[in-house]
Amino acid sequence: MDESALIKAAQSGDVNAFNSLVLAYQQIAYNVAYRVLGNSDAARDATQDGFIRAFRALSQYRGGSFKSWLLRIVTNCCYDQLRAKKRRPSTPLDDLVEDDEHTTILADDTETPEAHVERDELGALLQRALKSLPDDQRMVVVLCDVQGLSYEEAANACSVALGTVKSRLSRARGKMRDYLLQRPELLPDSLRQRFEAPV
Amino acid sequence: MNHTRVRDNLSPYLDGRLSPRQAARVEAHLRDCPECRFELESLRTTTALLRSLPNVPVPGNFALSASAVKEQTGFRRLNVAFGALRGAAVAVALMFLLFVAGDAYLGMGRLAGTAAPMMKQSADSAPEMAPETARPIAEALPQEQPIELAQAPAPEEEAPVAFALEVEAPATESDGAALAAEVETVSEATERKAPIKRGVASAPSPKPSMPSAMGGGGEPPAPKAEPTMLPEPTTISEVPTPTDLPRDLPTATPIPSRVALLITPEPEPETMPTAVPQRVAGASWSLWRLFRIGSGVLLGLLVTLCGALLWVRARRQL
Repeated sequence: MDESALIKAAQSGDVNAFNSLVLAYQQIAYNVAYRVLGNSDAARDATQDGFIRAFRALSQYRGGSFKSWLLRIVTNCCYDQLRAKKRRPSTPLDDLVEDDEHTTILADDTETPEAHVERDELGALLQRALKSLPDDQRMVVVLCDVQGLSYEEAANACSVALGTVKSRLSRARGKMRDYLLQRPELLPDSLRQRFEAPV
Repeated sequence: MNHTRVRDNLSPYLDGRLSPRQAARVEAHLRDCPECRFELESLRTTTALLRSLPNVPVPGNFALSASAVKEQTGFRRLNVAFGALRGAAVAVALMFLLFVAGDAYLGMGRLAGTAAPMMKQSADSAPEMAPETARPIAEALPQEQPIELAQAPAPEEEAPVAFALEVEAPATESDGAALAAEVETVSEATERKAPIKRGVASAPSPKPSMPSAMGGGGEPPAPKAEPTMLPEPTTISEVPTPTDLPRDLPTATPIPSRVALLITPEPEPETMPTAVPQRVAGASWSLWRLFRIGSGVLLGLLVTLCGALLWVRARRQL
């Protein structure tokens, strides 16, 4: 069954059809939430809340990219989580960057332990760089660069104009690069040369 | 293309989002600018690193269960009810605002229509006060005067005391006994003026004061106005009896003016409640009305704004 048929069935109240859509999009939804929030528990809550809201608001879906529509709901849930965290600050995000739930998984059997550690460290560095961005810029850079959405899809998901996505992405990339340039010792040797300024 | 503009365009240039003309300008600048070339390469590396971030595995399954769907269906009905309530609240607030605005508009019209005549009436009533209110006293006085005081053509309230002065003056010369009797009579008449005053002061029209004045000692029929009039003993004591009056007064003119001071305050309660207090009450009424209108408008605007914000937030959050 294709996506539009599943959506129509879900709109008529078919829970199994909606769960098929959930299975198709839960990976990207959870990863967006995880990269934006930097916390697996908060990302899980935001993703689950996003799917519940999507099911509740399925009658308001008027066509177009279902992925963008769904990510729009998930990003709103992420913003809610961020606002709640700002209202009730509990644990600093620095302690949660290295999430044990996702750092102990090997990419494949051929990966050496050194390469695995290097990958984890680079992932943690990038996550800290993402955390240093403002919420709006972090959302755009996660959607466009991490998840590979187009400018149009990102604009739809963030409910902003296309030019806003372009400018936010440009500023976010510049800040990310500056963050990495200030910490070259944390980069792998292969990448460190690319960040060395020409003499 | 200058240096700053090229740097701003490097990110969309990386994604191929520039027009061919803009891309050509950027490339032309990059050929001559090593700084911008380094910046482009570092940006390219950064985006490559971000794209190389692996997808984290999903912890569990986010599929909705049947019980959760039932719960959400109930919640959806509740949400629809809340949406209807929000719309109703906005409609009520708008209607309230409309009513307040209409009331304010009509009220302003009434205020403008009534304020001018009210002020005119209060202004006009002042000069008319003395003649209007002195007339009943003048009508009452001749009836209670036992002597030729009734023939006095002078202003009504001047008659008794003027006569007393005239009587007093010759009393020092001759016919002491006869004139003393007359003076006594006049003083009695002056004493009997107190009920007259009280009667006049207690009732706005001369009708209720007449019987008490004629009776010469009867209680006023309308005691509710007693606090506004002068007390009887003080009135009598202040009346210049022949013994109190200074003998060197050449004419009776100062005395009538003093008597007028005693008499003219009496009519004031007759006209003041209709003119001056109305103006004061009108001013306070209009202030109170403006306060009510202002607070109503503010409240309506606040409720409308809250409803609109809730509606927009519900639409944005889906």
